[in-house]
Amino acid sequence: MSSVTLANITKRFGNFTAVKDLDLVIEEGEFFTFLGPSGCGKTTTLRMIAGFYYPSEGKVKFNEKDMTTVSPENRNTGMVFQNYALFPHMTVYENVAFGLKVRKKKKAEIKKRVEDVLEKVRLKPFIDRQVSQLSGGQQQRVALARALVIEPDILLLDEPLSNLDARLRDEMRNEILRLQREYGITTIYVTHDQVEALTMSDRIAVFNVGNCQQIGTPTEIYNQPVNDFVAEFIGETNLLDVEWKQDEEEFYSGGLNRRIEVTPPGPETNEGPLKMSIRPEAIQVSETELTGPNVLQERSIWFNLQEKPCIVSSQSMRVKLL
Amino acid sequence: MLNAEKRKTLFLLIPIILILVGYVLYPSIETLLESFKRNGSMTLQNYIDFFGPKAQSNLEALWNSVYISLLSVLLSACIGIPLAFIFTRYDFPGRSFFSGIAIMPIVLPSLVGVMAFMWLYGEVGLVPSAIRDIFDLEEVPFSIGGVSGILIVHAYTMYPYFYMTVSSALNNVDPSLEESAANLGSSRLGVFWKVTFPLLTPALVAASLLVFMVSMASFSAPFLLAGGYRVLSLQIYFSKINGNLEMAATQSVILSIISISFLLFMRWFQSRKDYRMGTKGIGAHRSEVSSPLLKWVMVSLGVVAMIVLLLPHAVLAILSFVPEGSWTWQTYPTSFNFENYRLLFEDPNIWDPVRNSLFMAFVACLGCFVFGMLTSYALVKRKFIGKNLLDILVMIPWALPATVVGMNLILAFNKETPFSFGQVLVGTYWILPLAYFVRFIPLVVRSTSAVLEQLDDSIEEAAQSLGAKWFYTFRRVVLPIIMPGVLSGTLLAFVQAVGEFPTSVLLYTLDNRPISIEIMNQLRLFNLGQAAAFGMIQVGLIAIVMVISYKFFGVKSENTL
Repeated sequence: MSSVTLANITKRFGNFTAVKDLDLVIEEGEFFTFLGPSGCGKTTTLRMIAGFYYPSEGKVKFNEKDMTTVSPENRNTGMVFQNYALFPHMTVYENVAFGLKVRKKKKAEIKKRVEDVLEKVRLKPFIDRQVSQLSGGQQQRVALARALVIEPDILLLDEPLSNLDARLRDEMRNEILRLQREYGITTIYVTHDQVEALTMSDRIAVFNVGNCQQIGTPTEIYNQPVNDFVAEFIGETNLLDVEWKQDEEEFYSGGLNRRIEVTPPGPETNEGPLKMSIRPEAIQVSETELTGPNVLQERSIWFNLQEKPCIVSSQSMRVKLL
Repeated sequence: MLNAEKRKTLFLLIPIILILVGYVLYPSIETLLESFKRNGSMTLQNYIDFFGPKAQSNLEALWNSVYISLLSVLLSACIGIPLAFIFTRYDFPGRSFFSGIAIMPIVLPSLVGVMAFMWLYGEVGLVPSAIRDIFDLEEVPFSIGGVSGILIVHAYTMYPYFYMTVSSALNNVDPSLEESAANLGSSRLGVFWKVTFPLLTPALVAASLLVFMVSMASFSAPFLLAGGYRVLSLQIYFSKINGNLEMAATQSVILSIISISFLLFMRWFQSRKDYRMGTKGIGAHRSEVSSPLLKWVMVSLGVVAMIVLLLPHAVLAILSFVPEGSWTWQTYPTSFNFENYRLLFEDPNIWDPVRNSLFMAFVACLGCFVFGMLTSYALVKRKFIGKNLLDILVMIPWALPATVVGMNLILAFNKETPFSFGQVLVGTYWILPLAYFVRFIPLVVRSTSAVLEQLDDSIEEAAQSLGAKWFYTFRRVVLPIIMPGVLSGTLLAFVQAVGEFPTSVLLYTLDNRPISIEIMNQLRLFNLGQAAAFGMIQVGLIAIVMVISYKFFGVKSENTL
């Protein structure tokens, strides 16, 4: 087990910058998720941790050890690929035993450890099957077992559930979490699915076009997004323009034509456009009259935004506009 | 500092480049230089002689080659395309059996095929003589020879290129495309011209180019059938035999330029975006032939075609039982026994060529196996500057006519060079295995690359992240997966090496004469039975290799071309 430190990582492919100035620390035993739309640099970052890419600038450290240019086979990471990358010419047993054979373990030990891990992923009965004879979910678990059996310092999961159907995805989510808790391995999970990220992670890093937008626990990311990209990408939300009026010391929404009161206070500044994010569950809807600071009335229905709107900067790198 | 990946690529590339430069590029350059030499000084005189009025024969040979190649393309297309349509679109009794027979010409080595055609349809051939005797004619009604002979042999041996490429293209055409055209109101002919035909053009062009190149390079058919008719590949051989190496080099350069421009054109054509779509393989719809009359017409046509296709094989088998001296002036052979086969195993002089062929083909294929595998891996999975150039360099031996490859090697290794470890290779045993090796590298590279391109990079990365070093990954993960591709290429190389004639005839010595050369010698001695027996040995070896590759590696012979 180890912690991972990414210090000022930049990765360029020719003229294209895939990851820019990334700085983050992943703690020992943490379940850490890279979340973002496709092409945002999250897989590139994962591959730099696995050693398939070397950063153009910056350093990768496991614990305090500099691993920046160590080749993948010497990093002791366990990786699960999006397409599983099972060796098609080997049986389940041979696939899982591969990493142990490379490490020149004794036959008896290999056998025991493979059987143990297959027991844990509930695939013991399939031990002698060819991998092509397994279903998607089973192949997924073989890939997990193969990564876990070498007792890696870090477990890397690259969109592991994206090829499964909805039901299986649910099931495998719990399975992965259970295994991660059981082994207590530092885990880095790459996904574009916010539900996966929010339900599984200890902490999340949200990426967009090569930049890390925000790092925080799922609750922080959901309730206090730092900008409109994060607010919009995670969960459902309503984004409205607001401005800070220095003289009256209040936020004002032109669209709703009224002042908005928020706690905790947002960025009280005139610099750059601001938006307010109102989560659907923060709105109280009533047919009887409501009172309070942020109540709107439309015919005979009252909407109470309470003091929950969150003011965010809309200066994030945006790909699409509302 | 180079990082580990780049270092590995470099270590892989150094031997590959050394071998390609030493045995492909350097010999070609030697030939080019030789073509500018005349009595030891540099001059354009050879080219002036080639195109000038002094040597009409060369220019004539060039035009004849082009003329024969164009007609060969036309004839093979006329046979191959309709066959492909009939077998993929219609269902009738015996369809799959007949479609299997249709590729039989490829198991006949070129020299043996030509020989069988001569015995069958030549001036004293069995078929014309039989017709004369049956109908009591004065003269034989027809016989092949010269241009017509070459063309018929070409059509017979080259129509499978059309047949196979068009069949596979037809199988890849999504039937729903044609159905939707019909549904939109197009007539059957309209559907064919507006939908099916455009979808087939890439396959048709590819097959045409292939046939054109193969018949430009064709050597055996003109060698036995041409008479006084000149073609370029044969002219090279005659110049060499007459000791005019400079002219042979010049002719080789001209033929190389044509072939390499075709190679580049083909690469360009195949890299163009075409409109094949990524629809999943859908089983071809075959219409059942319902009218009983039509059904039986088709079946009987199939039977006739089968007889024509298999006659060369049959005549070879029968004549191999004719002992020496029993078929000279007689119209038909008179006695049959196992004498020729007995001699094969008892007379060391007759067994030697078989042993030579087997050994040399084995050595060359071993080389191709290792070299082709590594080269293909480097080309498909590694990134480096100049990859395209290396790719072209690898494919050059495939594009060059066999005669030219032979000439290149003669001109490069008739002196001491570092690439031959300071030895003169020409006139030694090892020049022939080297020639086979050079000629068949592209076969292994191509078939391996086809499989490697399907292999996802993540498989290798998975092994690496589990702690496996590069070599371990290559040996335990990559190699087992690509093995069918490597083997099918190697086996095809073996098949071709066993039947090889054009380079052998330029490079053989008494010690290493292969089967094909011995066939030629036996023909010169009018010992037809022994020649046929040698031919049967070649056909047998090829058949065994194909059955093995199909049974054990699931490699279909159709897929290897």
